[in-house]
Amino acid sequence: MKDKILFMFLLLLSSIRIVNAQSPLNIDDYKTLGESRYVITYEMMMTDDTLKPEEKSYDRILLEIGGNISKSYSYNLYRYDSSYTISERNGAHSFLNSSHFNKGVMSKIEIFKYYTDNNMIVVHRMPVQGPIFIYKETMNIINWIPSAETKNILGYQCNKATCQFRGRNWTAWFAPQIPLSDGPWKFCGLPGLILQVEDDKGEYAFTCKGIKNTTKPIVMYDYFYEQSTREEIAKFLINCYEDYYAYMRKIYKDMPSVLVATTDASGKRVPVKLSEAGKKKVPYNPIELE
Amino acid sequence: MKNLFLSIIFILVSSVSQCQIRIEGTVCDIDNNKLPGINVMAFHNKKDLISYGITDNNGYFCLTYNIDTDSIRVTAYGFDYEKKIIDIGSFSRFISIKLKEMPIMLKEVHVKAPAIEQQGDTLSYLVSSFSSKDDIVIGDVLKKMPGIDMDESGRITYQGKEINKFYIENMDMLQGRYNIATKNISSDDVALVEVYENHQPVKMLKDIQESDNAAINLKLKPDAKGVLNILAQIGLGAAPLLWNTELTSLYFSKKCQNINTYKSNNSGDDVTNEFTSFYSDAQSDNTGDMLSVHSPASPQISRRRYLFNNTNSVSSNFLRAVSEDVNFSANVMYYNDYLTKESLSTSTYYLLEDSLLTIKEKNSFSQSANNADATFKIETNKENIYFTNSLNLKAQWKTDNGRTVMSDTSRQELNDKAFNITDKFDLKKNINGKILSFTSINSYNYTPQEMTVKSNLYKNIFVADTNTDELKQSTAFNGFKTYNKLFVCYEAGYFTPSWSTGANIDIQSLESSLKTVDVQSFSNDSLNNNLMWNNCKAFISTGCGYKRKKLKIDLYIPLEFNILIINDKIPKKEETVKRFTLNPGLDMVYDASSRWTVKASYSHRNYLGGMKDIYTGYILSSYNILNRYDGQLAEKSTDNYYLRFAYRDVMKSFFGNIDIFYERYNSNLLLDRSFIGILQVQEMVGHNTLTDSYGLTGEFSKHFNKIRTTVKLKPSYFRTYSSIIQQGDLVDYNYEFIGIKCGVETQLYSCVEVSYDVRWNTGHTITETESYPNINTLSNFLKIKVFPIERMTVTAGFEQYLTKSTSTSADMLFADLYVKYRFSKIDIFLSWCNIFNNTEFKTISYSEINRFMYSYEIRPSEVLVTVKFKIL
Repeated sequence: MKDKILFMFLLLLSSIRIVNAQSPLNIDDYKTLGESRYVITYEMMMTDDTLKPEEKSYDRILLEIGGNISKSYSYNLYRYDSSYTISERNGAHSFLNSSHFNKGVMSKIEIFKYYTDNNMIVVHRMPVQGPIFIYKETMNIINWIPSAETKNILGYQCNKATCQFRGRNWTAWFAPQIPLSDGPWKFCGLPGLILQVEDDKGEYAFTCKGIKNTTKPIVMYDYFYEQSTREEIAKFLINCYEDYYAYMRKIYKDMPSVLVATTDASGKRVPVKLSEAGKKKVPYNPIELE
Repeated sequence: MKNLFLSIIFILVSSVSQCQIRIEGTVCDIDNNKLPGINVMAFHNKKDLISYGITDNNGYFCLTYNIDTDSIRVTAYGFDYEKKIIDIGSFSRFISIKLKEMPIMLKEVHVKAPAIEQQGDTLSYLVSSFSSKDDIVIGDVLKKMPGIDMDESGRITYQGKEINKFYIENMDMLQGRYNIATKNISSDDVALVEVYENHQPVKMLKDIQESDNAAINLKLKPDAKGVLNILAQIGLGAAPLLWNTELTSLYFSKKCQNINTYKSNNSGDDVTNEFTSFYSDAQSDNTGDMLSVHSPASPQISRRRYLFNNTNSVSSNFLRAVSEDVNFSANVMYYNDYLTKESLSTSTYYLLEDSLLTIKEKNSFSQSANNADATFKIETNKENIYFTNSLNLKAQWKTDNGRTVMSDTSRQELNDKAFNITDKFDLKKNINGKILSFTSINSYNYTPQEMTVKSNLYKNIFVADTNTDELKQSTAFNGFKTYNKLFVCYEAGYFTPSWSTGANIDIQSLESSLKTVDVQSFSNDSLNNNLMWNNCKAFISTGCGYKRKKLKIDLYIPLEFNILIINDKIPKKEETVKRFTLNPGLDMVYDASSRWTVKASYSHRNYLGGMKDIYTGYILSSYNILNRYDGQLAEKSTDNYYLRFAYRDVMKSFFGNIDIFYERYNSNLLLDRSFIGILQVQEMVGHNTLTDSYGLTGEFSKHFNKIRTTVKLKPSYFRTYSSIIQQGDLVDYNYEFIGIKCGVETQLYSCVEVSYDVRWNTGHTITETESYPNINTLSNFLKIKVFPIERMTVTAGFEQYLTKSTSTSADMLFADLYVKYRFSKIDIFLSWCNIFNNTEFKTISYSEINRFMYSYEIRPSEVLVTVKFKIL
């Protein structure tokens, strides 16, 4: 029975998009780190497969800004976790209902920027029920080069600045009218809120869609975190996507009879025992190339 | 922000070789506490950013630049501190800035949901992204959505294909009469319009039998559910006395849905189309209409312009969900209508050797019609069982009066009645993965008609010595049909084999007689019919579906056996026809990508003609048309080839499709038309005829969310090759048509909304010897809506119709004005239609090799004031 449920589960996950397959987590336990004053909503555009540059996926990123701290996270993943949490409260198995799954693409990185310490805590969830890594980085390490160009975004006059950051050339538009030196993901350090930022290959972009003055707690969930570094996680993910089933075999090593939905030579989806599944390479195009 | 930030210093490229200027300083609050994390910026010309820094833990900042200027502007601004602006001389110096504490409220921007969102096979159109202040009902908004199109009758298509279901909150209350929803549900009450692509309404058949058609679902706003809304409309106008009143009640809840309407008007508002079901299975082919009073075809302009009506209608639609998968629905409706038409027409028939027959006539037509329709349906739609039974009762009785004036006057009066009862039963069950289905459709139809014609056209035509000028044609049609089908299919890997078998019995009878009013019937038998027609069809069909990756193929091969017994009692001729026919078909769908779909299909069909083209006694079907057939059974076959490319990119709100078709139609009979004076005699004669048609239609639409604009383009082309016998001469002709429709709708500015449509088409007929002149038509529709104040909308509408042929042309321009004003919860409308007071509409058209010029009487300049308000 357990296997059957898990199979359905994996089947549904893989029907979304295997690269984004993510297991939900319970978000009942958390600690409050601060209180937001502003919540900024961004649309995040991603390109998972560089061989198919026309296939984009989209997530919604929320940036909660408080006096000492800000948090940037995926709203789609949050909705996914919350519906899971609610259904777990009502008995876990009721969650295996496809309607809960169709929440779209989810970015798995959460960033807490501690303005006071000038550093940020990054939480990165690995695919399916993989580990949840956490690491620390220094803030304001981006060397922005401003230019005289301006444009209007959502009624705010924005200035342009460019930078090279971890293998991508980014162009940002920030609003000097908003005295918050923050932005989506790891971006910050400009004299105004970043309302738009995109890389020159058109593979990643964050575009502001909403600005709200609102007070709400900025929280960090009590997961089982594994301390790591950015470089280690990058290696981990490259290995994971190079042979996805091998990765899953490691994750589900206690359950050798887990079934996965594979695509056979003719393109039909067939369940295969994970232990017998062949090699599967999943396209991987991280936001940080270096 | 109380901790240290590193100041980031930058240098803006400057061609002027100047020594670097360095402005340092500190930022603190009124109590001299150092402030970290404050953005300090330097501007040249008060606006060009030349340097910036963020204060560190000691409130220290440093700005450097290379610009040659006398003074610069420095601003300091931070989280919860008031912005400070200082203009200072441009030289290296140290400054200290004091900031006042003040919470900052940002100018809010609300997240707009995307206009169209896609999840799997469901597209969700956000109604608020497409609606404007002036929209009243959801139909107004549906028209503007890309990918969705609605024609003047209200029929909805998605990517050029008719929808197969119309749901409100996922329940099908209206059974295809969705005009009731689109014309009565307020656009403010609908949150989303959802399109279910490839919609299979039977849950059990999902993934087994796929459909090409989409369904539409209206998702209501939460506050529109569970409340009873009663809306009233009262309209009065002149001249003559005009009215337009409506009373509507709407109720939608999880368990129950109900819409009741009462509508009455004489102002050209066609409410009777709310009674038409657009579902493909609702169209009945079992009609017995044989006679008609001469009335010209409707002009190609908005129906409101030429409809002289006096309509009263009531309808009640009800659905009750007994449980989640079981529901019962009832739709009961009645209308009566009195309508009149006036026209002048010139028909030109090209006869032998360049001779022309030109008929000029003036036509007056009136109709008094009553229609009643009731449908009761119960449906169970579960994963393992599907059951539905629907019973439909229809009654129609009407009297048509016509007066046709040529050199003399002919009067016609038609009494027409039609009764129909149809029951549809469908049971499907999933037994261990095998789908078993039984369908049975039974209908009975009775249509008696009687037409009296007074005209001196017929003198000496029928019987040499009868000098009558008044004839009475009566017909009575009886038809009973039963269609029964048993179907089995199951899924086996990539394949879904299926078998079906069934029997259809079609019994029809026709009695007709043509008499003089005073004298008894003519002795001549050729003026009477008494015909029985029994067609029994047994069929066995095998089919197979195949689905692999992105490819779906469906093949079906039905073998049919027909026994047709025709008993023509007047010539005392009985004939039995037996035919085996094979009617195979193939459908292929290839989902090339998430955006592209390619479809190709082929089908071959053989069929026998109906009773209506086999009677041997003359029937005066219209005052100047005398019809009969030579008794030879029509045997027809068609070959259809179809290719479709559909593309949609939801993120870009772009939809496009191109449909290409080719049809070859084969018949053993040909229409032979001849004239005795102006009396047309139409007969079918034995002659193998081939009709080839091919064409292309396309539809492209794109919505630009940022500028709130939708653009639609619809090109079409077709060509037909066929033959006709006219006055004994066999003429091969071909007809070519090219049409383009293009429309733009924009709400770029909040105070004005503009829509512009242009339609252009050209058509002409070519025979072996002659090429008839082109008829070109160009229509322009411009609508400008202005919102001068919040509560008011002023709409100016212009319509121009240009028709041009070599010798004749017609140019019509219409202007209309509408003003809407909202007075608390009451909407007041003022409409002034046809401001230029045009009284007739002229048009030219082709049919086969003949040409028709019409001039219709249209509604004069009219003013109507309507008040619309909510009672509950």
